[in-house]
Amino acid sequence: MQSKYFKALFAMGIGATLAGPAFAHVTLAPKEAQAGSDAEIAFNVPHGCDGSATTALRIKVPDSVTTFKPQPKAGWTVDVKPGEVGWSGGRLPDKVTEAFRLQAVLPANSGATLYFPVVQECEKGVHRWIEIPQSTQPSERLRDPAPALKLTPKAP
Amino acid sequence: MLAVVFAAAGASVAFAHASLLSSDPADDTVLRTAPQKLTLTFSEPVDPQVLRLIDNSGAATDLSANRAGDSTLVMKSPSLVPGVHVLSWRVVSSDGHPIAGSIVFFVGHREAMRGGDMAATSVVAVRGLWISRLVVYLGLLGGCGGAFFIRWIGVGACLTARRIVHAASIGGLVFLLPATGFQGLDLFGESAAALIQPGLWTAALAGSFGGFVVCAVLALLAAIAALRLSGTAGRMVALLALLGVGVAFAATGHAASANPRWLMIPAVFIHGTALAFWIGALAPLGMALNRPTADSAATLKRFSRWIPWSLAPVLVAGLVLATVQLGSVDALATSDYGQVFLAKLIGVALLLLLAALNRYRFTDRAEHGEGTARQWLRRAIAAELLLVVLIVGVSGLWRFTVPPRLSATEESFFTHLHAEKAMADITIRPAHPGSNTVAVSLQTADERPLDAKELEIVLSNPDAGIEPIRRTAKRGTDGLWQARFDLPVAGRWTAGLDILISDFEQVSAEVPVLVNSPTRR
Repeated sequence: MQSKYFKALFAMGIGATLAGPAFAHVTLAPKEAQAGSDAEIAFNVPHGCDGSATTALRIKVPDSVTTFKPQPKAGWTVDVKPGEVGWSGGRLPDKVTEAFRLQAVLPANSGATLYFPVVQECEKGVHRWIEIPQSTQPSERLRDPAPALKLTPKAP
Repeated sequence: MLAVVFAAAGASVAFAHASLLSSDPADDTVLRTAPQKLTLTFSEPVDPQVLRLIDNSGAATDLSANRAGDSTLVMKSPSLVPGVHVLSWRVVSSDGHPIAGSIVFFVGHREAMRGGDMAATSVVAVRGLWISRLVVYLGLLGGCGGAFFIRWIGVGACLTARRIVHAASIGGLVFLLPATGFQGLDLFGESAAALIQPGLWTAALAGSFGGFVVCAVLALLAAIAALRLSGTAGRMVALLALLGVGVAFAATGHAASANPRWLMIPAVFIHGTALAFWIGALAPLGMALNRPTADSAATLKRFSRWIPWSLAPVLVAGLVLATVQLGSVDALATSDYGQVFLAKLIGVALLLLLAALNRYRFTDRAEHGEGTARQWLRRAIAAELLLVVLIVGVSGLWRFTVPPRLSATEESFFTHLHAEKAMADITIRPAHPGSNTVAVSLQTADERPLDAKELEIVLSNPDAGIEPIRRTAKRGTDGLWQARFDLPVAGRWTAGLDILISDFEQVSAEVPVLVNSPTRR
């Protein structure tokens, strides 16, 4: 199968929810949201760990998000801890995708990027999506990046 | 067609990527025989970009792959020499995101006859080196020692004895050539095809091995000359030949380079020269006993009188050498070097037993002309000769071991790594091509010990075309994280650490590390 890939650059400030193709990473949507707003963030889990079904998902909520609530999911037990939410006890097969939703009040500092490190536990193994770009490593493609949400300016 | 989107300003965007599920051969395995094909199985369909095999000489071979099922790539393996091999791969997932890595595997017997920190050579080169050196040593001992015996001890030496001694000298000279060639192959870990390169030969002769070759050539030529010359000239040249054996022995080898040199070099010289006298005497002596003449009785008498002067120095010098090289009594059991020494010791003990038998049971009776005693003496001498060949052969194995005194002082490479929230001390032992241990001690940014959950160590060498080799480190009771890597080539490698500080926090950093070629003899 031949595949090509395109690179496109978007100027800053143009926000759009991009309906992307099926990523193998755990990602979140929307990619951008208004600072200070009430957002529903969906964490998409398109794959298990190297073929093994997902049995738990734990998300670290950044400190600047003080108010957050997970949405329940049938077959899963929800758990809230300071700075952390988790769904466990279920079974999401590798070839099935699912979204886990979190309601959160976003902080007011527009322009910032919020990182939500995710630990995906499976029947066999664990996959951590916790890499955050560091100032010491500019523009390095990360293997397992933490899902990120960009804060856009408040609507006037 | 799928689009990959970059958003500006560094907001991390998730790319889809495949991952390597398994490989055949698996990473970090030892295989007895070279594999026929190499398989990489990914989590989703991928397009191969670079598939490369790197061996322990740094030579890289590009491979082409066939698909077996959607997500598996199969490559036909070229013929592989024994040693470390790296399959470096770079593929592109369906969305265009490349992933890369390396699989390291070892073909053959790891550390079969050598200290583990040296790059492996082909089995052919090792065996060839051992056999050629064996013949050279036997030539030196039998040829030079025999010439000395014929000129100084023997009374009316017979023609057959001369022929034997002559043949030994010629044999020694001839086998110096393959010995040099195999030495070169061994130094560079090359395959036999490299023998046509003159650089290999000059490198083999550089250093102490070249010194050995020169001394051996001179000593053997002197031995041949001594047989032709007569009178005092013949004796002097024969003496030179005998001493030349000691000099040749002292020119190279583990023992001669050990400290204290003022003790070791004379010890090796004495060991070699006295040994040549004893060994060189055996064949001509055996021949002399063939003919029951008064001459042979006189020869035997003189030999018996001289032999203690050769035996004692051989044993004393040998003991001194062994003591320094082994360093401790446990080294006898624990090191390859010690094992070889034990085997040699057993052979020498048997030899001494035979020699004692000759001396105390047969010699007197043979001197007085007793026929059966002569026969037994000849048989005993033949047995001694056989034992000598075995002992010299066993001693030849030392070339492929590491004396315990050397293992104690292992080389290493040390560096310090800084990351945003952590620091690390990285030590690579011995930092030579071959089997290496990477030891990491982790600290927080303010230099207190860091208790990490997990640590992955990554080594890559982009100059050599080697994609990252990832290993999960294991933590020892002392808090030190360790992982083993087989590195095929020397050079500037990049060491990376992925430190899992907590469930949700990972710190990564890289630092260059140096892997040097070991200083070889």
